[in-house]
Amino acid sequence: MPPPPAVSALSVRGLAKAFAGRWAVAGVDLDVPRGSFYGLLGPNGAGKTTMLRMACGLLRPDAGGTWIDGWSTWEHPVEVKARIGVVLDSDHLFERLTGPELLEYLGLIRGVDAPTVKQRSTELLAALGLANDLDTLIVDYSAGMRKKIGLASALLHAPSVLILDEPFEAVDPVSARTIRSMLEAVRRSGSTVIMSSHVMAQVELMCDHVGIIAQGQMVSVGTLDQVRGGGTLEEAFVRAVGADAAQVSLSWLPQ
Amino acid sequence: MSDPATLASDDGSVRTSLPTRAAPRLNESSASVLTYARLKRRLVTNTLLSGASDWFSFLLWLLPAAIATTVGVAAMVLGSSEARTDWLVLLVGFVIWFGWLTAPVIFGSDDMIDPTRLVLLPLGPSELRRALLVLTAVGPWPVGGLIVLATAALFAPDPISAWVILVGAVIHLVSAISWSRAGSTKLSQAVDSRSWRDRRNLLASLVASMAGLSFQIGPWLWRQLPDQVREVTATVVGWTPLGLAPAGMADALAGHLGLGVLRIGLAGVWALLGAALWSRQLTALVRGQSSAAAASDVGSDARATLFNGAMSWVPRNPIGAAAGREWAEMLRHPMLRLNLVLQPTFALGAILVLGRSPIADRSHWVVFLALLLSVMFMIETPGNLLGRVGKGAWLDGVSTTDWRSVLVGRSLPHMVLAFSSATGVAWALAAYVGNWAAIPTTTVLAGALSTYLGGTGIWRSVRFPVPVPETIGRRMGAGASAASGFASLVMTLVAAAPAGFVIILVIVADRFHWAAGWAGSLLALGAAALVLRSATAGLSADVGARWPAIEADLTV
Repeated sequence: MPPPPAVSALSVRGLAKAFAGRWAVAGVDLDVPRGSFYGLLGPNGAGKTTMLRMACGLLRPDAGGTWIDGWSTWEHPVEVKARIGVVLDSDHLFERLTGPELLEYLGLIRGVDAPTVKQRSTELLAALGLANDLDTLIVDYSAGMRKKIGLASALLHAPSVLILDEPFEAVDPVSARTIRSMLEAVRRSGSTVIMSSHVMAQVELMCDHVGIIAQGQMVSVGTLDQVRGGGTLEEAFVRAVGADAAQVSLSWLPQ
Repeated sequence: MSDPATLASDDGSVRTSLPTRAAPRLNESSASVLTYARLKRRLVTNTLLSGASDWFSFLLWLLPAAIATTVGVAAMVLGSSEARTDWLVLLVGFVIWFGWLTAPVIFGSDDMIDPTRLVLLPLGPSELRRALLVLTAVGPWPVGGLIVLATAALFAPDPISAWVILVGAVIHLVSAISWSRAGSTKLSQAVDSRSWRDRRNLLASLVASMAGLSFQIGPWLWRQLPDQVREVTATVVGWTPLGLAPAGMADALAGHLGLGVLRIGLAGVWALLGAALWSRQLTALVRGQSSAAAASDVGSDARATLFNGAMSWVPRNPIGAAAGREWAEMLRHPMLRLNLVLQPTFALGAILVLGRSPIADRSHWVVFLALLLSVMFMIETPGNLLGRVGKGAWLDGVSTTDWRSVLVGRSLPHMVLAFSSATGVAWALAAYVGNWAAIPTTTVLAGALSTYLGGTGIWRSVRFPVPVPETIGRRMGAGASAASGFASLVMTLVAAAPAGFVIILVIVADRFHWAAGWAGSLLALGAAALVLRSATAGLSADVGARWPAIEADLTV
């Protein structure tokens, strides 16, 4: 296996993972340039989340490896975890903590000093519109609020690589705009943002690089313009995943 | 009233209109009783065991009610030989009424109870009432209750009394059902909230404990009461709404037919009141006038920082953060909060029993047994730290490799609680038996035991994590909790065995000379510190290597 390019924020080589005899990720190679805003697209069940889980060390691959800023995820977990911020699944949070408590816990666990944690928490909660719910337990948060507190948790330690799985799911348009501007700020600070999404418009608006995954394999990779190839991203996506775009009609509906 | 298919602008002019094709509408009386009965069977079989055969689920559903009915009938038949069938009828009637009223509160609302689940269907109030009535009344519990109550008719002195008793049984059941449903409709929105679920879990455990206790000591307690008190109690209950019908049945049994008919008539009025109230609530719900807003779920127990109260002294570092998180969860999670109350209570109860036993005789044994019992009960929970990690498992996984800090920090509140509880109990008992000299030894020994069991708890947590569901009461949740609780208890007992041996050695040393006791307890403390240290050595690498597998087990 060739060593990953040192310039990549995330490098993936020959990554593979099977569940119950079926390949969820089937030999993926990928390089995410440092400082880029990378959009990972794919239909449901394509392997996006599985790949991201392996990239951040939550799931051990059956073959291949991943590197964050040149550090192997499995050989140097301390260095990798110090560099990444992750929002994978907003259902998995510590339900009996409040938002500020969750940030305080994660900040201290990550080794950020207490005054810094306090200052950053206050700013993040205010920016994400959670400042009025300081005493609300996470178990009582709405889906959008959970997404936002997940994002705050991922940003608290100023990671160099931010990995987000469907960050705009269940988020209202105003909050989506806030999150978008926050992610832009993260990118401007020199960090890399890797985001999976189904929303083509968001990806087109925000990302400069795009990768399309289908049936566990990367089927199209490049800059946004390269992947679009002159058309829209949606057209490129449908073309790449080989979806049948034929018009569906239901015979029982009134014509 | 404007046509809902027409959209008007603010100035009243018509802006646009939608096609006025009428939506298909169900005939209000189209669904038969059989339809709802089938719906109930489907809901029951789907809820109990998905994947199992319908018949097996159906039998499983019948079983508890069948057992309760058999016990009830047996109690009526056997108890009537004591010639106090009147009290028995009253008691059974009370249990049935209380059971119907509290069941939705304890077990929660479901599709068979909650009108808000059906309110989106095109059902009018009367159809909704019929649907809910069928979903409620078709089943083993109402039939079983009726059978148990009707058993009293077997002992009626004449046929007319028997008929009065049967009518009383039906009215009592109708009253229980109508008031139960009025209550559950009123609470239908609130009971779906998180805070209500939390309280319900607590309440369910407490009611189950009380029911068990009543079953064990209730008859004994009743016999201890003077006859006059029992008569007064029965008379008072017999004139309350929940006792009117059973007391009327008892009157009929005793041959006081007039009084019996009067009470059963009043019970009928009470049942009608319940039905009217229920009907009114359903109508309000269908017409969107329900004022039963969901209870505010803002956690009044929420705090802005992890380091409040008992955890204010911990350092602001990873260990302190993990300790703060554990403490917050212990205070807020319903089952952990219940543990905080029940574990010391059971420990204290066991100790009080021991304290009154012949081995007490003012010796050290009581004090040291107090230590062991108290620490064992308090330290059971942290023996499964990774299994009880909750939904946030992956957050730890992506945030840290410092598992030693996380696990030591999470054990810390448990160790502090165990130490406080053990020393509190031991000091109280030492004062009770007048053995003041035992206090320093027991204090050091409490520290040693807490540390030792904390260390072994961490060791067990890493090697034998048993997933504990986040929410109990759901399908398989209770079973998994029971299994993990049992496994944890067995491992706690195994881990506590060496501690018991050390305690005995310290007791022997202390009886030889108090200084030997002190020295023994200090040695035990040192040994316990070594156990804690070796249990946490290499922990971070060990957990880190196995974390993906652990996390996958916990979150599937």
